[in-house]
Amino acid sequence: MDIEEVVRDGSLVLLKQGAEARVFESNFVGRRAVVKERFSKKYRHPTLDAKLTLKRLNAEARCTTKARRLGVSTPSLYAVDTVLHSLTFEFVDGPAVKDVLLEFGSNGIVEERLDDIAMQIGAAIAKLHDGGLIHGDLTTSNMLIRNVSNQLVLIDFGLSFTSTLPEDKAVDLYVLERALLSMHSSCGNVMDRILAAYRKSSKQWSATFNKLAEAACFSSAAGSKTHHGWISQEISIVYLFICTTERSKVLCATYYISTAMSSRLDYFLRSLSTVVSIDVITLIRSLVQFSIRIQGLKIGCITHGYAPINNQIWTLHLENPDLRMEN
Amino acid sequence: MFFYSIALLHLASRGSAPSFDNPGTSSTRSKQMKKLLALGFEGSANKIGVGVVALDGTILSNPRHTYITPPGHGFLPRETAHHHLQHVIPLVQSALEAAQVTPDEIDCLCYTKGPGMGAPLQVSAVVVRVLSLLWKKPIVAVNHCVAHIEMGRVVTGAHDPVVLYVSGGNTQVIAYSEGKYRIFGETIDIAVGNCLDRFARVLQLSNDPAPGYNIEQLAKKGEKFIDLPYAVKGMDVSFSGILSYIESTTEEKLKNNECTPADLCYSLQASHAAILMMQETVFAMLVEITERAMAHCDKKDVLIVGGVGCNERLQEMMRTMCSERGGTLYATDDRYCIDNGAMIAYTGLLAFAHGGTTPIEESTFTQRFRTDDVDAIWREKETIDGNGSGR
Repeated sequence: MDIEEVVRDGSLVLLKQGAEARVFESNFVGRRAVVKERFSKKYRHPTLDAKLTLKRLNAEARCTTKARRLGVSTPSLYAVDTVLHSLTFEFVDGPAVKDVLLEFGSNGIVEERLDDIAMQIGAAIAKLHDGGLIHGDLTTSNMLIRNVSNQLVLIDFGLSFTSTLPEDKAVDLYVLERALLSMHSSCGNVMDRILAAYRKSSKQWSATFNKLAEAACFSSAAGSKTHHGWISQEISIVYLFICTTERSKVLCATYYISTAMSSRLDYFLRSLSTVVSIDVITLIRSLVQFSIRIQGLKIGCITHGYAPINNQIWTLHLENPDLRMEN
Repeated sequence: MFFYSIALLHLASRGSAPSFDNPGTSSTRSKQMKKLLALGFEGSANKIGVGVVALDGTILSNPRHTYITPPGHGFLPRETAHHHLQHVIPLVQSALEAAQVTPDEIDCLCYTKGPGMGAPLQVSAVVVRVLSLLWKKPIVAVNHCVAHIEMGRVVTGAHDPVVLYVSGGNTQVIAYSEGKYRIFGETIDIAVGNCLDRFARVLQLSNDPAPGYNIEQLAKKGEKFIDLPYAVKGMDVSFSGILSYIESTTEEKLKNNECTPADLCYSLQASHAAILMMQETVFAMLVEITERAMAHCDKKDVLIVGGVGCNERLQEMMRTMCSERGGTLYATDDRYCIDNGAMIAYTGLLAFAHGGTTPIEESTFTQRFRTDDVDAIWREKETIDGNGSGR
C-alpha cells in the first residue's frame, strides 16, 4: 500500500513534529488536508495541561478564521476535534518562507521575489493588527507561499490573541525581527522592507505610533531610517530604537515591555555608559525628563535581559541622527 | 556597633598573616597546589551565611542563620541587617572552627556584592573590608546569581546546562555563551519565590523553616485544581497577575468561611487547593520557558538552583521534561540551593584563582547586579581546556 492510498483512506502520514504538536497529512471528504494534533505535556498537572491545550486549540481555531475574515490568507479550517485536540486544515501546497529565504541565502537573492514576499508579509501583519489580532508567533516558518498564486499564507495561530494595544503589536513585530535576524541575516534587511509595507497598509500606524506609551516605535513609521542598535547575530541582546518623528524632529526611542521595567531604565543607562559616548546618555536622560512633561514623546530602550556587547562603541550624530557602530 | 568592633578585634588576634597570599607568588605556590581556601560571606536576603571552601569544591564548613519573621510578615531591610550584624561574628568563628583552619590559611575573602537588599548586603561588605585589613587578605566581590550557578555546577557535576535560577528575588533562565552567563528568559515583574512567599503570607503560613517549604507540604494535601492565569510571554514569565488574582479570591474565601467550624474545614480545603494550583501553575510556566530556552540554545541538560529549586515538585516536573528531551536534570537540596556562604566562597575562589580580586576601594555592594554583567573568566579557561578540568 503506497502513501497515496493511505491518504485516500483517510489515514494519517506524519509531516512534522514540533514541541507542542504533530502535523499529519490526510484527506477530508476527498480534499487534501493537514491534521494538527496537540499532544499533552506530561510534566504539567493534568487539569492545567488540558486547560492549556484546549485554550491554545481554541485560540488557533478562532484566530485562523478571524484572520481570514480580516482578509489575510490562511488555510481554511475544515474541522475541530476538542477531544483529540486536533484541527483539520486545507493543505497548502508550497514552501515555507523560511525555506525560500534560506535558498536565497545559499543561491543568491532574487530581488523581485524577496520584495514581493516582504511586501506581502508587511501587508498581512498590518491587516491582522488593524483588525485587533496579534499573531504571537511570527516566524518565517509560520508563513507559506502558495505554489499556484505566490500568495502568502499565515499559519500557526496557537499563541494568537485579540488586542488593540500598540504594545502587543510592537512585540509581535519584534518577535518577527528576532526570527529574521537569527535565521536570515544573509538576505539583507528584510525587516525594513516589511515595515515599509506595514506602514503603507496599516491605517492605524500613526495612531498606534502616537499612542505608543510602552511599546516599541518603529522608525520606519516615523519616516526615518531604521537604526538597528544592538543586535547580535543569534540573539538580540539589547535593542535601542532611536528615530526621529517627522513633526518634532526629536529623538525618540521607545521603552519596551511594561512599566515594571521602568526601574530598569536606570540600570540600562548605566550599562550604556560603558559602550555609548556620554553625549548619548546625557541626551537620553534629558529626553526622559522631557517626556514626562510632553505627552506623546516617549524615550527608552528595548532590552531583553542582555547587557550590551562590550568593545563596541556607539555614537550618535545629532545633525543626522544615526546610530553607528565603531569598533 | 561598638560591641561589634570589639568582636572583630577579637577575631583579629587570631590571625597574624604578614602579607597577602597571592597565587602568583612563588613562595606560596606549593601551598596553592595543595589547597587554595576561601572564606565567603553571603547576606543578600534574610540569611547570613559564612563558608570555607577549597578550590576543588570541598566545603569545609558552611554555617548559616536565617532571620525568621512571624507568620504573615515578610522581612524588612533594617531588621534583617540588624539580625545579620548580630550573627555574623559568631558565624565566622564557628565556620573557622568547624573547618579547622586559622585565618592565616585563608587565601581570599569573598562577599556578595549584589543583587539583594541594600541594608543586609552592607553587613557582609563591611565585615569583609574589616577582616581584609585585619588579616591582610585580598577581597573578591561575587555576583550572587553566578555563585548559585557555580555552586550548582560543582555539586552536581553538570557541565554546560541551561540554568533555571529561581529564588525569592530572582527568576532567570540562564545559559553560558561567549564569556558570560546570558539571561535568556526571566520574570518581567516579581520573582517566583516572592510570589509564593506573599501568597503564604495571605494564608498566614509559618515562615519557619521557609514559607516555600510549608507551601510544598500543604500542596500535597490539595486535590482540586482551580483555574489561574497562565502568563508565559516568549521566554519570559509574569507572576504579579497570578498573585493578585489568588490574593483576592483566597482572601474573600477565607473571610466568608470564618463563621462556622464546618466552613473553616472547607476553607482549609480551599486553601490547600489554592496552594496546589498556585504551585502547579507557576512551575509549569517555569518548565515551559526552560524548555524553550533549551530548544533555543540547543542544550540538553538543566540545572535548577536557588531557594525555590529545593521544591521537589518543581524538580519532578523538570525531570519529566528533560527525559522527554533526552537530557538530564541536575538539582541540589536545601544545603546548596538556599543562600549560603560556601557558594560565595567557591565562586570568589574561582575568580581569585584566575587572577580576579577586588581592591578595597571598590569593595562596594549594589542592589542591582545583573548576571550578565560578570565576565566568567574561569569558564573561558574551561572552554579552552575542552572540558570541566578548570574546576
